[in-house]
Amino acid sequence: MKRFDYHRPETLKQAISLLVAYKGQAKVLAGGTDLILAMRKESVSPRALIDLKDITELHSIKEEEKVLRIGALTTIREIETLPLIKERICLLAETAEVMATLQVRNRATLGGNICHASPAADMVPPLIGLEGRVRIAGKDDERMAGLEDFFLGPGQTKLGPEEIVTEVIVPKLDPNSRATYIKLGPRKLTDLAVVGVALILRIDRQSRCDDIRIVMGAVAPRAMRAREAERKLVGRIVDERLISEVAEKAREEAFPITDVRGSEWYRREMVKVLVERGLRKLSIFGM
Amino acid sequence: MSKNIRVLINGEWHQLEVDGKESLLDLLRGQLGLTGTKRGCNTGDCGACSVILDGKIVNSCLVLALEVDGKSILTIEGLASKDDLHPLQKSFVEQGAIQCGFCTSGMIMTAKAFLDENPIPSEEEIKAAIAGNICRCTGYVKIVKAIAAVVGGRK
Amino acid sequence: MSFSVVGKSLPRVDSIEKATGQAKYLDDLFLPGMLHGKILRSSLPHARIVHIDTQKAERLIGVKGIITAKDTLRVPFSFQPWLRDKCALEFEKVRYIGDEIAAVAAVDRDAAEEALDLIEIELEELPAIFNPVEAMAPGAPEIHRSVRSNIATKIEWEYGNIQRGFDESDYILEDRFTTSRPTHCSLEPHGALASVDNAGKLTIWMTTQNPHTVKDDLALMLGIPLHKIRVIKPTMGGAFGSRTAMDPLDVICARLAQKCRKPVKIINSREEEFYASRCRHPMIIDIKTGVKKDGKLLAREVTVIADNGAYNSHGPRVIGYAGKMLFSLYHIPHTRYTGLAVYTNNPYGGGMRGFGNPQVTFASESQLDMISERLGIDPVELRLRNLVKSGDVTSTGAEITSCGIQECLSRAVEISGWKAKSIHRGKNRGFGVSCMIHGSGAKGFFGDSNVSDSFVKMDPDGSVIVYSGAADLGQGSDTVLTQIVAEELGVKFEQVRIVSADTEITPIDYGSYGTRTTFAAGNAVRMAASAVRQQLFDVAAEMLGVLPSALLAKEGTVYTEKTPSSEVSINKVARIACYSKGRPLAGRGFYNGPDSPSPDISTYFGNTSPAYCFAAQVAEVEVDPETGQVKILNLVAAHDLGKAINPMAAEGQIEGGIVQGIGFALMEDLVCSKGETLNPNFSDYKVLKAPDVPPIKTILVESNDPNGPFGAKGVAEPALVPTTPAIANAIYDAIGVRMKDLPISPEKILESLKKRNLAKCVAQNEKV
Repeated sequence: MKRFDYHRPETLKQAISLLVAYKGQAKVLAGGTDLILAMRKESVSPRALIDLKDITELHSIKEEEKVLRIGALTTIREIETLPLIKERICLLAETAEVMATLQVRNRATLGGNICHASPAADMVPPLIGLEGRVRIAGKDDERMAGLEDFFLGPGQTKLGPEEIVTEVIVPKLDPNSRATYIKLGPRKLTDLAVVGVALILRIDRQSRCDDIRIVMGAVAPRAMRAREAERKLVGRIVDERLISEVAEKAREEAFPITDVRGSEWYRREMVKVLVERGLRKLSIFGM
Repeated sequence: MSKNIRVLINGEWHQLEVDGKESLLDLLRGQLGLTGTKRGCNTGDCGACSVILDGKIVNSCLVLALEVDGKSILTIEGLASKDDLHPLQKSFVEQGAIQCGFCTSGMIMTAKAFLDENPIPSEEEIKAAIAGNICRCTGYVKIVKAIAAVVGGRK
Repeated sequence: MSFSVVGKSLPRVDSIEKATGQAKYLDDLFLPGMLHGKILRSSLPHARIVHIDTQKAERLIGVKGIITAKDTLRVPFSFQPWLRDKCALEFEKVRYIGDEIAAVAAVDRDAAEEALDLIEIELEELPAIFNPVEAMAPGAPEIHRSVRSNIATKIEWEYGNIQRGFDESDYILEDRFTTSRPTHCSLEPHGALASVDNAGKLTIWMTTQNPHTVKDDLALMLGIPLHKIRVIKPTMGGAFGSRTAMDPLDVICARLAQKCRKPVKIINSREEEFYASRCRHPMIIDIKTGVKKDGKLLAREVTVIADNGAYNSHGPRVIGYAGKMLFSLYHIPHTRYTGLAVYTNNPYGGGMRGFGNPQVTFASESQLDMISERLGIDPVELRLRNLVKSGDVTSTGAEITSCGIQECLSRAVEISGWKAKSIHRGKNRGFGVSCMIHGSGAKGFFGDSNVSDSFVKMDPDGSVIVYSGAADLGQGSDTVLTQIVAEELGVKFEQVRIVSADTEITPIDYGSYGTRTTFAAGNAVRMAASAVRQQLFDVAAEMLGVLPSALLAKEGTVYTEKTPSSEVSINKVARIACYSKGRPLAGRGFYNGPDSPSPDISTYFGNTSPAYCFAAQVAEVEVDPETGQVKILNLVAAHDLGKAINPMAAEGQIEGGIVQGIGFALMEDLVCSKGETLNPNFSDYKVLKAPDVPPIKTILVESNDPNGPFGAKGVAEPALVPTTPAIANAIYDAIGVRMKDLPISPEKILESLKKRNLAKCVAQNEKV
């Protein structure tokens, strides 16, 4: 690990000023569960760490009529356990529960999981499925960005080096929608997803699909929506045969790689299996 | 860079000078001589370094010493009272949940932190809670039994 | 016979200090002025060392010493003297990624690491070979000078007449099985702390299983006489066989301490622990078995090709032991074995729990199920028809004393509910069984013997200290030995303390490997305690006015059996003995077994172990045919351990072994590509976590071995041996695909299912 300066600002403004002062050579420190490892490996060597944890506004969670505004420094464990999240956007709590380990969840943050931009990040497919956005604070202004095209590739986002993600805005689910995140790994818990699929489905009383989002993680350089598969389903009556066709389409849309965790062939097969199982599970409630 | 920090460890305040690179694990085992917390991997995968930071179980190898200024930490050395072992420690001893013992500190601290938040968990929930603690000797069977025995004792 | 201490599930003697964080492991030890060492390892799998320049590194502030091969005696070592091929620091060639080239001692770890980056190495890359079959082919690069075809060791034997055996068989099955490269993953990484005094005496704390025998290697490598070396094993965080041989790290640490004239500590990082320490030998096992239609096994011919990796370590021993285990569980009159340990430029194998037995038992027990299907005989029945029993001598000359395998098998099957559940079995669910044999200690690891020596002394207050060279790695030998002594002497468990594994203080024990500790060290301490007991009784007899032969002792009291009974407390006798009679109580116990002559050097025929442990396990699994994932629903394990000195400890060992066996079956493997380990971390190397462990039921079968201490044999090491084949057999039962390559990953299952379904379709189409 190379030497670095350490700062612990108390306001967002101070934090951004510091980032600017270091001319983009500094990094923000949230939970540190990814960053500290990267610094030890020296794959990243910032000149300074700007520890955000004392900035209270980054921890707050607010409920509004249509959305939840989750501070970027909310820990994954908080997302797993806070009643507000469990009641309003259960999908996020369920996803948090299967991420990493208890020790890591107590430190890792929502903002961190997003900005680290691992193609297998668990929180990302559900957030994209929910059409979540991030609020980004910069030197002079603030902007919003949709999560679906926030990611550019493994470890890369549209976040500038002098910007900070301050909160994640997540639309509440329609009460008639069902959602699930299915993660495949060799062990029951703690593995990085070999394939991860978030599914959100709304069907009407005739079992016709009103709305469907299929978001796949770990099978492309960034989490992606299987738009063609979704188009196959929307407006049609959901039955076994259609589920199978939709899953097959999703399989075709994915472009996984072979690495030490799984081969391309297997990941592609598993996309189909997970999408099928997910859709079946979600549509049972309506049928 | 180095910095002065104040940190509450096992109920005692300490004034320490820490180096930027120093992890909480380095700090505990080095300057403070609290070697009960172990270094199994230094990458946050094995859980042997688990300690309770402001009431939450964390991998001390993934926390910088700089980050714990003003914080409170509980390690295995702080668990037993002057007169008696903590119920978890007693249970681990009695149920044969300790073999080589290298995972034990982390395992007990994780169990304690978890039970403080979930006093009456199911066996499945216990297993999920310690999923971040690797044990290579016991196969986890008696560890889960030891934790469940403490839960059972409370009911 | 009822016991007071033996047979009780007492908490381990060191459990409180471990539960409170007080136990001191290697990295918890500090000496004044201690330096930290780091090793520079090769990043190429095969290369000639052209030049090493340490000047820049030496100038770095904080660096106190750097060594390369020129600072050593350049003497090669290995577990067996005639197989020496590894230098602590290489000077001619490096032969695998991880090979030791140089080492630095500095004031802290950061400085040591920085110094490593400043050492300039020039390597000339050589063609490398990563497949043992290719390594034997003509034209393959030579890894060790003058080792033809890279064959490190070849073992061959034939007993009976193999051709006749096959000629007389009604059925012959011939199959190939291949196994993976799992590694020990002890939670404590390997390390050493060395200190040399002004007189040149070396004191070295090591994570070692064999403090006494490792001393020999250190003496050889450092050129120091044995009496000037003290090896101490501190509390140890697991080993599983990885620490039976000396590691180059140990010598490097000692050498740095000599050079710097300061204590030096070196600990492997977890990454080094994965890629640069020992692993299990991957094996290609060709097994051909001939059988009569009534199920009697007649002939078995096996060829094992083990990927030795870059150096010997235990490779040659492993293939020999594997061969023995292949033919000792069942009666097979005609057998033939060829075992080859072949050098490659891969990470090299060492001793790992089971020592070759897990690999070959996976093959033999899988094939046995295939045979049972072919013959239409129930797999349990087939085994019962062929298993050895007490008093038998196997085709390899193994002499079976106690044997509880039949009871193990029937109880495991009964408790698993196999027969009952099979009637209403769910889809994709299956049962599988496996048996195993494993030697409890063995001659021939060190010379022709199997030695444990010990002292016991009783202090004037009746409390006892046991001195044993046996190393407690966390498997609990300290506790078991304490129980044995307490029982033999008739004192309370709490009155006995053990000092172990310090070569200055404890007499020689060859080491904790090969399932020998309970048997060999247990016998030795029992004998020593028995000697003390005799002395105690002599004095007590004088005090009570009876003959010593009339006396018994229990829970701190010596008493006469007949009525009216007279008694006296042991602490009183001890005080009288020491101060009044002037006969302090101390005894020695020495064990070397078995009594049978050592195996013949050329034919390998003979009995190597003083006793054999047996086990049967039944696995119940459910396979997800869409994902290929295997869920283990239940695992029942029945183990014949002779006598359970500490039932709770024995169960704990079995449970831990089973979980390793599940890992071996389904997910553990160091993935190597062109010699590089791609998953040297706990994230990508998959060991089971708590949620992955199935319900495990353990049954302890006590066959009371006539030669074991209180009838005990070993149990811990081989606990994983039957698990892997039981799971493989259960998978076949569940989905009808025979998996012959480990690990049985979901992907492989899915591939096999698709191939089989495709073949079915093709067959059906052809019918039409």
